[in-house]
Amino acid sequence: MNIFRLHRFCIRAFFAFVTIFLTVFTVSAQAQYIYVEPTQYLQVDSNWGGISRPASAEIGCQSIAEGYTKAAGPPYIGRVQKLTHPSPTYWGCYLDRSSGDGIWYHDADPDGAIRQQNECQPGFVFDTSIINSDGSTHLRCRGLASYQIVGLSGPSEVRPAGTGGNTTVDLTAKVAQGGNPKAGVVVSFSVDVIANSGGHEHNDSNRPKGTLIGTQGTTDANGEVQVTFKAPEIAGIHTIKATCATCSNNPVTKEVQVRVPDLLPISPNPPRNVDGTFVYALTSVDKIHQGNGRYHHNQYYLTEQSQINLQSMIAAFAAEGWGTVALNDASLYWGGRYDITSNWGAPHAAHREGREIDISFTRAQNPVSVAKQKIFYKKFCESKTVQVPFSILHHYVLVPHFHVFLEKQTACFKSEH
Amino acid sequence: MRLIKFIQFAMMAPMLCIGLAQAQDSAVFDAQQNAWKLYYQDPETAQWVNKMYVQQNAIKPSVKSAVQVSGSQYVYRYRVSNRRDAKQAIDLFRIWGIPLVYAIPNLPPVTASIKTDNDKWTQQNWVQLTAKRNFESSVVKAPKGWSAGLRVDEKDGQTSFVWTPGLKDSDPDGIFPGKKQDGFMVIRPELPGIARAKLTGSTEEPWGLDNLPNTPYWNQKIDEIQDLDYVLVPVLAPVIPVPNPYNGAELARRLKTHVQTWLKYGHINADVLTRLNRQFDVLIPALEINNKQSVRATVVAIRKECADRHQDLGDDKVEEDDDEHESAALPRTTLQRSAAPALPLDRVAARVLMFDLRYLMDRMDSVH
Repeated sequence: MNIFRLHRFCIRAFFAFVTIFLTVFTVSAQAQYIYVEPTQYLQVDSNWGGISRPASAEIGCQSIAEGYTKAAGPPYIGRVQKLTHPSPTYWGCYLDRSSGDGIWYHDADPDGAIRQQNECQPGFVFDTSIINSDGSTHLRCRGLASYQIVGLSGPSEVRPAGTGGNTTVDLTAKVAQGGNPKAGVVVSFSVDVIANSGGHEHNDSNRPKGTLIGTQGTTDANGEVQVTFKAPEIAGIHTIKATCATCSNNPVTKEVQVRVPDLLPISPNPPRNVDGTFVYALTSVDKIHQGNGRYHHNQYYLTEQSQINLQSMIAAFAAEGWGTVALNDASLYWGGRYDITSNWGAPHAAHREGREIDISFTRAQNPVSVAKQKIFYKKFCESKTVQVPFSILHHYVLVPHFHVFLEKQTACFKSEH
Repeated sequence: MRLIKFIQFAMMAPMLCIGLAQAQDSAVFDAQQNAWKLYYQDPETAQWVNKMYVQQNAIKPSVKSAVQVSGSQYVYRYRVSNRRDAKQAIDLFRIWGIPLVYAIPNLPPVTASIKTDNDKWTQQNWVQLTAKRNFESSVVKAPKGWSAGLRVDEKDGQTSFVWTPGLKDSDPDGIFPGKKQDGFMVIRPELPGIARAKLTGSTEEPWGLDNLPNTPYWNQKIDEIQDLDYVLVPVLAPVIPVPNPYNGAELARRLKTHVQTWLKYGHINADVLTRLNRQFDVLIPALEINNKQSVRATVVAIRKECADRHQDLGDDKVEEDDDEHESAALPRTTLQRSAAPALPLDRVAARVLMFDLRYLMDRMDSVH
């Protein structure tokens, strides 16, 4: 009895071992599949060709190894049938299904027939095992994924359009198979922009995003394919996506920051004059100027040189007895187009590079009469390392102001030569 | 049918050509209006625009410059006049091209990083700017209603003294034709040399060249327009640092070096410069070996060169000259040069030589 039990135990243990081994082996050996679309479907209905014909398995139609199931209804058992149409003469494969032990139906829905002419590429078989969100299945070709996109490389930063310098970057996707470059693989690219990025605290579907010059390419002998990303005027974080239909790791993404580099904030804590008043005030963040469609709160960014020049200019204002200098808008913290009314467009078409700032005549109670404006210009043009062209723009509050170019000294910035 | 097409083409072709011709940058000077007619594509709007830029040189300035010893410093005073027949008021008086960048004593340092400690940098930088401003105020003084500035072009190693009308409505808008303004002042320890005062007239849009396209054509045109957009007048200015510790030969060398710059600006002609150089080549070695007799003889020879050109220029007029000898504008165009040929030695240049050589002699004689 004991021997019998032991024997039975050993047999069970052996089968358990074999079962576990096979399971583990099967799982570990299970290949990673990739799925591609057949190039074309022949759409047929259940009465295909208008002729009711008996189903019969035919050579020339591939079998469906994984079976055929639907999310709704009883499980179906599927098999591929071939139906011949006499006139005109053609034939197609399609899936028959049965419900339990019931009758068989020609199932042209949802995949239609599998035409012999539209076979999957070599190494791929037809597969209907993937269930769509609506419960239907969709015919695909299934194959073993043997190569992958190993990288999407290139610069991670580029300047916004309209800010000078390089506003495009070349990105390279590389496809490899077992460590070796894979040529002839089609790679597709797409781009998107992250909402509220780049200092724009607003978002809608009209937000301009960067563009790709060429959205698809085929890998060369080095397994590489290039795409050019062209930055928009608006700063922000862009995600470039590389997709390869026959690769195992889709998609591969890369983040590109569209920005003017190295902009620094104007300190919100201004020094004080001898009389205790502030040297300057950031007037666009006060209560009066909030609202009016303004959603930006990061508008006081400048380059390092502009910061230095701005302070020199404020000192020059102070020397003229100006008092607190009212600073309106500079640039957003990543630069680019500063859409003051949050419409991705004008006004404020300048203010992109962190080298310009508006100075109010009237805020902080320091008006300069129109008659003195040209004196003001010449004063700073000739005596300071800043340029003050009088673009008497009218902002949303319809108040004229100084539009100051803090670095673009051109016309009047000269020494004796 | 072909005839109709030909006629249509013939009518359209000139229009197309006109369109192409219009899309050309141009800058044409209108002498009657003393203005440039500019045609360019606005960089902001991409529209082709016509613009008039009025030159800022329709002024007739003269400057009286004086220098006076005040302890270890020299006080330089200027009076600017604008002749009655000028068409614009003078709204800028800038003595430029001083070949020095002054060291500001006790300048508070900026130790904070603008990148990592912005607040602290802002405070420290402001303290430094305030110190600079205080230094400026101690060097350059302005008459009432005007403001003074010290501009430093570090790249070029140059300093300018700049005066402009104040910004209050009660401040003057400039020196109008027929008027003069006194009280422009600089206090420095350097001995006098010659510098040029840049003066401009008041126009409606002095910023008119700012928004032109950044192209080679316009960059070159802007240079061309600007080079004649002001008037230059020679003035006494603190240019020659006294060596410390004092060295007479070195001072003479510095004076000689400075004199070489005069030819370029027309303060001296080549013949006089050659003669002066010969004298300096005797003076400097004589100072090096303290050969006082030779030094005196050479100084007399240089003073004679000055007296020969300006017979009424005595020692009493070196510091402050007569009103009638106010410096007039330097000729800048071919036409101006032919109308008023340059003097062999400018009167201000002669005053510089006399002043500085007298200083040199005084220092030599003060050592027993």
